[in-house]
Amino acid sequence: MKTAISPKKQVVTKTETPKTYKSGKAAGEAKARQIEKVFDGADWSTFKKQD
Amino acid sequence: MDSPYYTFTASDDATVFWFESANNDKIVEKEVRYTATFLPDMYSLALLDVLPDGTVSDVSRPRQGDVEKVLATVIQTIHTFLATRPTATVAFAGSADARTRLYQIATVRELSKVESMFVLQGYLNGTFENFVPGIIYAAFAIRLKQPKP
Repeated sequence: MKTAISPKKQVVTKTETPKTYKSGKAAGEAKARQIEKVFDGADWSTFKKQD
Repeated sequence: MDSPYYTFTASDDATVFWFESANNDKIVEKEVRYTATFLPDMYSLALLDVLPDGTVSDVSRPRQGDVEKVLATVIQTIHTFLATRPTATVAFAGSADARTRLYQIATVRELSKVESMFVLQGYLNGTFENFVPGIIYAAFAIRLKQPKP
């Protein structure tokens, strides 16, 4: 006898890993490194320094 | 910048700001911190929750129901910070996509009222562009408009 097996429905939930820091300074430094990483490889010719 | 915002205090060098988010009979201490990056004259912005044990978190979700007022306060601190560093740029990204969108919504609302003062650029796929409402950016860069010579 053949038994139909249905694949289990996978529920993917995007969760965010909580980040806790010992101090505001440590958190600030982490954010600074994050934004540097985001801007890594940016085309700085598109960055408007002056209005 | 006439949206309701919380009264805040600032450090002597105007790089750290504190205020209390008070809603639904609950008070959450908030900290806004500007940190120099390795990029010239560019500072990152961190919006933090000060937890009861003294540690801070960038992703806690107090569900205070006052997101708009909190972010309006952040915009106020940007203005104060840049007033002391007129050539600096403040860059910020959300700690998650949902939070980035929250930043974007609040930023658009607040900055649309003071377009004459700020230059706002969105960053996406390696390039900066003048902010366009409706586009979800990975990060933002904001600075004061320089006076015309």
